[in-house]
Amino acid sequence: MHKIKILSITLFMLLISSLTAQQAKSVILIYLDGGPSQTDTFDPKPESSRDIYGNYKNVQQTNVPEIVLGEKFTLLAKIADKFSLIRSMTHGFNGHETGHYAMITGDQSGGSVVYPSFGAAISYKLKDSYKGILPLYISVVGANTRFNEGGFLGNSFKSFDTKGMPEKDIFEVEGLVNTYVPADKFKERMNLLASFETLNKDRMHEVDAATVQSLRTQNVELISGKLKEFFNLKNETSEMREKYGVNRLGQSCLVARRLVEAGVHVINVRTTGWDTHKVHFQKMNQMLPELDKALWALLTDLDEKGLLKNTIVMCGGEFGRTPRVLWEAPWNGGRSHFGTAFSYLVAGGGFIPGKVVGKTDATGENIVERKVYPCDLIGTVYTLMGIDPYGTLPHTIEGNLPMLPSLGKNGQSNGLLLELIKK
Amino acid sequence: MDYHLKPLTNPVLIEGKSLTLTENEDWRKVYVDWLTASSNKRFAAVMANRLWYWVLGQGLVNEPDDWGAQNPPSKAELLNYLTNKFIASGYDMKAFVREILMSYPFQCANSGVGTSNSQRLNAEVIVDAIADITGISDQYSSRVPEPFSYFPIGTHSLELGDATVSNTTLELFGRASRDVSLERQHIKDLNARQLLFLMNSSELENKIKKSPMLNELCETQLTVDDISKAVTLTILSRYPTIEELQLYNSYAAKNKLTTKQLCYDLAWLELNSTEFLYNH
Repeated sequence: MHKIKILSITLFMLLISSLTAQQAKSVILIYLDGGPSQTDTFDPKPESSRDIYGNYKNVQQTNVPEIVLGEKFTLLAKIADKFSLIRSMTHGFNGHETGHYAMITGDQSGGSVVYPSFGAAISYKLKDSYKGILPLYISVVGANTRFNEGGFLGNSFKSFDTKGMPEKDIFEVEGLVNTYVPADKFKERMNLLASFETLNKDRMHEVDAATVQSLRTQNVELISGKLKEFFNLKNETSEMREKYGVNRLGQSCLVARRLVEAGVHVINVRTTGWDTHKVHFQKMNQMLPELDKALWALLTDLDEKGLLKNTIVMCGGEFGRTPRVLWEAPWNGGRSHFGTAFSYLVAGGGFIPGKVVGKTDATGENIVERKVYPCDLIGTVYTLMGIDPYGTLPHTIEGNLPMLPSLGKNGQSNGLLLELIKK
Repeated sequence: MDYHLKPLTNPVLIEGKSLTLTENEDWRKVYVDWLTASSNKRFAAVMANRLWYWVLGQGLVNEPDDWGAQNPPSKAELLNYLTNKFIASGYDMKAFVREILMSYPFQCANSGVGTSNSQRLNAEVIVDAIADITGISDQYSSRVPEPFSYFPIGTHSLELGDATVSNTTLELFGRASRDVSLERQHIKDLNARQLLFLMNSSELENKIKKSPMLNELCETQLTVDDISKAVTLTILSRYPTIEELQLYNSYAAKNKLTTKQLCYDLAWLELNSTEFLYNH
């Protein structure tokens, strides 16, 4: 009995180690901040009642028979063979802070240790092998602001936040690309700074002038060189820009594809406005077609360029929204926070496409098949990125801590998504 | 969480004394009373050492987080003296820092006690200095609980008690998130992203261009020398040297700058200088 157990554990470890052969080089998270409704997107309930499906009774049949999407996803319906759906995400938290924390770190252990975001953890693991000059973890337009992403790894592992508006003619990237200091002015200023520093070099003691100088030179290369072209959407045809949708989300996704081409490891596209307590359906009428277009464009574009096989694309929020619509005032057709059962889209980077994992009941209020916890999803992403999800991260006081303390724990984990990984 | 709940077992203090708590006693208060009592010399020693570290760049116990037996203070007598002094002052941080500033080790560079280290300014100091120099203050808000609450305009980052109230510039320059309660969580080194912010960010550029002080200067008919003096006094707390005035005059002439452009460029220059960024 004992031997069989050891043997099965060994086999499991072998399976894991063979899986950690890296398939993905980059991860793009399309983060729907505020919490999107799963009922109106990836887990529609057309057979239920108007109190559940609300204004969206129709659904989209897709090119994969078992995948049915919400009625606004007309474009994604054509490419359901390129992604899979998790319809049984759960962590049980209904507060934004706790929901964000669980979804972004994978930690539900409830201890006093504050975990880093998965992007920060990946940055830590890959920092030594990364050869790029662009930061290896970038947030397009905005970082996740409601908790500190660096966690116990510290602030230096936070994402580089571009800020700015990619849908504008010129996408201003904080510190890199701007319209207010022209290139020749910047050059003049840098010359002036160099002269000033030479005049004052004896004023300072023991500041390593060489270090300061080399950091400045590195920045000048970023600001004046070709690297910033990765953020310049004028390098794309207008057809391509329109394909993604000329709005904040669409153009952010286009920037994300360009950053994948630049070799950036983790790209966080954050889009806000999904916390629709009130007049939910009016907002969804505008937001869902934009999301549909952006996701469809990103997936088909990555695929056509041969990048999808090495790029994970994930889409979801910190939780879902209540399947039951609140018709009464002051909500007037709103949906509340719902951490019990919600959906995530996953694609590329070694995820098997065209599958559905997990199932909710007739109203979508309970999971009836295969719960997936945040650490199960994030652990699978680590695995595909060639990072051992059972590995450790260094904590300054506690020593080495497990990357995912919840992984394998009853009630916080239900196992890695091995059913979605290509063998 | 209910802090009035009785702990499952009676807590025992480090020195061995067992505590009994009554039903309605807040055990956080009991703990803090013990922690800050004058009989607990360790608290004063840790604080005295941290203040020493903040001013001089190196603790007598160094790193200041590591109080293990394997890491004894470099000058135990001095630490003991400072600890007693700090307790005797009634934990008066201002008085204590004055004591350090008036001391021989601080005033003599290269005395061998640790004064020879230049330190980059702390995140809070940099952010507050930029706000004060330009006259454009940062807006701080607390997200928990909802609805968000906003701090009054003009609040300095050093006045924020809550580590979750922050902004990206503070975090960039290494304000500790307090996710781990270690001095080491403050980033004290200079990195490329910090310089990127100073060299080319819209945030700093906007603050300079909107600065009431700088714009007031521009409206007066001052010479390059006068403007340089005013800007340098404000940012670097000294007068410009003759060489610097020559440099600024030739820079203004060569690039045919208006008073306004010169003002902005000098503010940018001095905020980017090593002299501004480092203690010296």
